[in-house]
Amino acid sequence: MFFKSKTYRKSYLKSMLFVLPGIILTVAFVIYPVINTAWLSLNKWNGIGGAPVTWVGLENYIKVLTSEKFWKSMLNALYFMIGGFCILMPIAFGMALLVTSKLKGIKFFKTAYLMPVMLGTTAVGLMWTFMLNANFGVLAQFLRAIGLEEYIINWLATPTVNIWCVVLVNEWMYAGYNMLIFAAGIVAIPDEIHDAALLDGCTGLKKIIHITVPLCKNMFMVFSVICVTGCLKAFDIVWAMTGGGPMDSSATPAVLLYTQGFQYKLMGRSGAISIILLVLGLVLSVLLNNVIFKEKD
Amino acid sequence: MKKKLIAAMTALTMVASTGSVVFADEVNYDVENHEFKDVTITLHTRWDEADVSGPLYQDIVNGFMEKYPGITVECINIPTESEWLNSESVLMSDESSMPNIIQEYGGSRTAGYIEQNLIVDMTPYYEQYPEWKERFNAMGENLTDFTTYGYEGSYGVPFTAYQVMLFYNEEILAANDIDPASIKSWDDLMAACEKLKANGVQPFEMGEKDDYRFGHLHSALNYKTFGVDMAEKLGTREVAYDGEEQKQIYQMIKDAADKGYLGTNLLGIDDGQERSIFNTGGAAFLFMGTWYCAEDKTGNEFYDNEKIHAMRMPYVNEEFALQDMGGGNEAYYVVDTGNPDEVAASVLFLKYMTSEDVVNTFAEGYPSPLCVDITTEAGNYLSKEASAIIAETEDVRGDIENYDIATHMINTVRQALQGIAMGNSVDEVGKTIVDLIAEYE
Repeated sequence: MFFKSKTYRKSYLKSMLFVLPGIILTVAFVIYPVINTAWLSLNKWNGIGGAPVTWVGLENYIKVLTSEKFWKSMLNALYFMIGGFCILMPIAFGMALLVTSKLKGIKFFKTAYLMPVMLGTTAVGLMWTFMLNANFGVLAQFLRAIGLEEYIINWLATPTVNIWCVVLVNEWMYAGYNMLIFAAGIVAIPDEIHDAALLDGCTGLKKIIHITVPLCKNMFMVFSVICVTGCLKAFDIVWAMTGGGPMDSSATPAVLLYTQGFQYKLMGRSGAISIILLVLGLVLSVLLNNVIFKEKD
Repeated sequence: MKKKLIAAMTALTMVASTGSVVFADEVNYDVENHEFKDVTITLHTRWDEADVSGPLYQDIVNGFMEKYPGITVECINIPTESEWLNSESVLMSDESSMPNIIQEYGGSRTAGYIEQNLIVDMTPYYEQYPEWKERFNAMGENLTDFTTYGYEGSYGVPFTAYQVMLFYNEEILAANDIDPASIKSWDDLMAACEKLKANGVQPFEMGEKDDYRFGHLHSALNYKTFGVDMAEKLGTREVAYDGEEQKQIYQMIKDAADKGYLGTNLLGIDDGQERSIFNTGGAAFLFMGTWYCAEDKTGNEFYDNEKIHAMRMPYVNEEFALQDMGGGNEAYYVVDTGNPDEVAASVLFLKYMTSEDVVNTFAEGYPSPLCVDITTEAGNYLSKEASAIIAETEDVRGDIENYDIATHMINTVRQALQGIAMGNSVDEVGKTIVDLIAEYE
């Protein structure tokens, strides 16, 4: 009866009014573009306004999934994920431990770690492109100075090496940002737990493994979801450093969807890549939440 | 009586509506006498504020707005080729975002816009102002004539022109006992490169990081080996990209690249760095379009002492010695946005841009070949050398991929050619192109 009461309806309408702007924005900027992209992925369109849009069914998906370029780009996304979990996560966590400790001069470290986050991606990309230049870059100069000239290669033009350079620059750029995620988890651990661990003789690495890491589980989950979805849609740093080249050797799926759409004028195929990435991102996020980080009963 | 009245009214309505349709279809091509009130037009260009030409283009825009206060011109200038191309694709994907004028290079991409009736046919405007059309020389025809794509008419207003040439440092060649006059064929050039390399001098330092560099070399070598007709043959697939003829071209590039003649860090430097290295004496030759003549050379001692000179791109087959890569460099196409005022204002802007005084002023500041005849003695010593070479040229074509039926070819071919700098074989280059053609069909 309550649900049908005038009071309820009034308060329901009032609540809806508050929620409405959010719903409108989500529909306009998320739901509608996704539906439109899904529809586009089933059609053929050359990207010119007014040009005919032809229904091709699943052809775009078949072409994408059988394309060598797409799987190469997925491999590059996998490199980003490997870098994220094997390099970025331990570094960011270590930095978080450091900035939450009571070391002297911690303010300097905090500022230094956050500095790359504050720089624009294009600026970071350009800076590292110059630093990694085989002719005049600082790394090449350094290797030359210490007599290791034979190790100078064109880092950003050599397949596999170039994507790993981009991955490492990406980790350098985002270490500070992810440090904040872990630091938030570490400072939330009550002091009593640390004191109890100390009384039990659990200190140093033992404390990190048995106390800090398990109690930061949610932070690891947040990091994992951000890392996986971020790696699938990595675009800006790749574009700024290599443009996905040479010969698409450093292209990520997001770079590929952009070039297929706006350079090759294959809007349907570009849409198909978008939908594949969206579905993959959702599936991996759900798997991480429900399988790897599932709360035990 | 009532029926008669209804019938008469219906008949009148029919006649009136037909008349209004006929009336609405009438377009006033006399844009100079069109009244403009608060009309804003958008230009999408590659104009570079940091380049010598940048302020000159801006002067044209400012001069136009001063002369026609009812029209405001807004520019979207993106100098980097790939970024400009991407931006144009984004803007042209929706009718609401289309600029009023786009800078383009003709070819299949522009033909794609014409196919969708997005580009205004300039023929009636040229008929309205015959003296305007007469001012254009033959160099820009490749940018305005789309009959090979099946579209009659004249699209776009051509502006600058170019020809790809070899620029050389006279001092470096003399120091290595190489007579530039002796370089007539590709073999002569390779022999000179061998000599330079043996003496520890870098012949070329190409910036293939911008993948158009090998793209241009591929086009130029095709014309110098098989003549300019190869553009249409490749474009219609009469000649295959993995056939023996094309492999011969890839092999010439590969041989030169493998021997280190074309550069020491092909994929690590871009075309700007390539020019800087040549300007500072780091390379003996520069393979570049004639726009190089007009670039800012402030403080370049080789240029100041007239040590940099131009020569024709060497032939592979002597029969085609005077056939080159070149033609109209840039043209401006009016986009049919459906707004007659905007279309008229755009046409008027291009008419102003190509008027005698404006072109003369532009040519004085930017001495590069133009598709519009100039009546001034403009130019520096290098542009005069280039003009003398152009005057003897028999036939030209632009980027060979632009004559292709598929719009993706310019990216496909350039990317595959980049593989040469990565060590790919000529078979791999051909296969990559053919596989991608099949994939994108």
